[in-house]
Amino acid sequence: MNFLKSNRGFTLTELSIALVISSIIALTASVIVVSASNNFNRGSRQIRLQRDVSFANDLLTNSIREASGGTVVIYSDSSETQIVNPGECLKIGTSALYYKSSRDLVYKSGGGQPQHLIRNSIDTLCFFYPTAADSQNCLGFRIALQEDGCSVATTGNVYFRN
Amino acid sequence: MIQSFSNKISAETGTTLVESIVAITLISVIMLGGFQFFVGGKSSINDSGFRRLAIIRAEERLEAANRFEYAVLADSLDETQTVVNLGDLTGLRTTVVTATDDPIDGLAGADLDGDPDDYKQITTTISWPLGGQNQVSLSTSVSADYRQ
Repeated sequence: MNFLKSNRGFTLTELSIALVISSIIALTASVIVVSASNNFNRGSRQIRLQRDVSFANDLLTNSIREASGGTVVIYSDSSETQIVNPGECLKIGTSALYYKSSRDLVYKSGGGQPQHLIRNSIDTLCFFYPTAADSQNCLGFRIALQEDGCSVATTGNVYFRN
Repeated sequence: MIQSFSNKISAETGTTLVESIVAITLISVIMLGGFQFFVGGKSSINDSGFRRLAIIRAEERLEAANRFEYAVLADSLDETQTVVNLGDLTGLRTTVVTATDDPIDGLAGADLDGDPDDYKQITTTISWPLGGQNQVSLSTSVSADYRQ
């Protein structure tokens, strides 16, 4: 084991080359890891948005479908003061209220607490009557979700059952 | 001992060309394989997004059946390759309404109520091009009393 005591170390050139090579390897590896993690995050965001838009679409479709013509009102916002077309707030019957608050989809029933169904991703929530003649029979809505470069949007026309 | 170690250090046998080629090939195969996970994952996420939107579009078309009288269903709903919006892509929607004769009350002329048109089947198919033809198809049956 005498060689451990040998005074022959590495030369400066050897050290520098080793350093350069290992930093190149480390840089490449970190770039790969960062891009993999970005890809993963982006994928899960996109999946979450798709799930949310599907959920919102089903929820609104079912709620509007159960409504009766003439009992659905579109307001400009949740203060329920200004009746508009199109608008961001939908009142079905006497109590159910769906509206956009900052970037959330909110549902409120009667005097109950507002429930934030989808948070921080609603870009557009818009209710409208597709045609003036059909306003007693049909309601359209458009939802667009957007979060950090991922987006998904859909529109739907729903006919009242009653 | 010192002698043998210094021999080892000064030995000039590195890796042969064949060894390094094999190593490089193995590494690139492994990296390509890993890369495929990203590409495949991304395209399947995209694909599922278009599929969801296509299902929503198809449901919307079936929903529209609610507007029309039974007698005019076929005239009102039948369509061939209407362009629909699927986010970043456009899809083509085809709706077919077919009269169906249910054997439960007799077939054709033997029908109890004399009407072989027992119910109508509405089928909506949406197709979109993305790495080959993708399509979803939804269908529903309605009887003459469906609006009551």
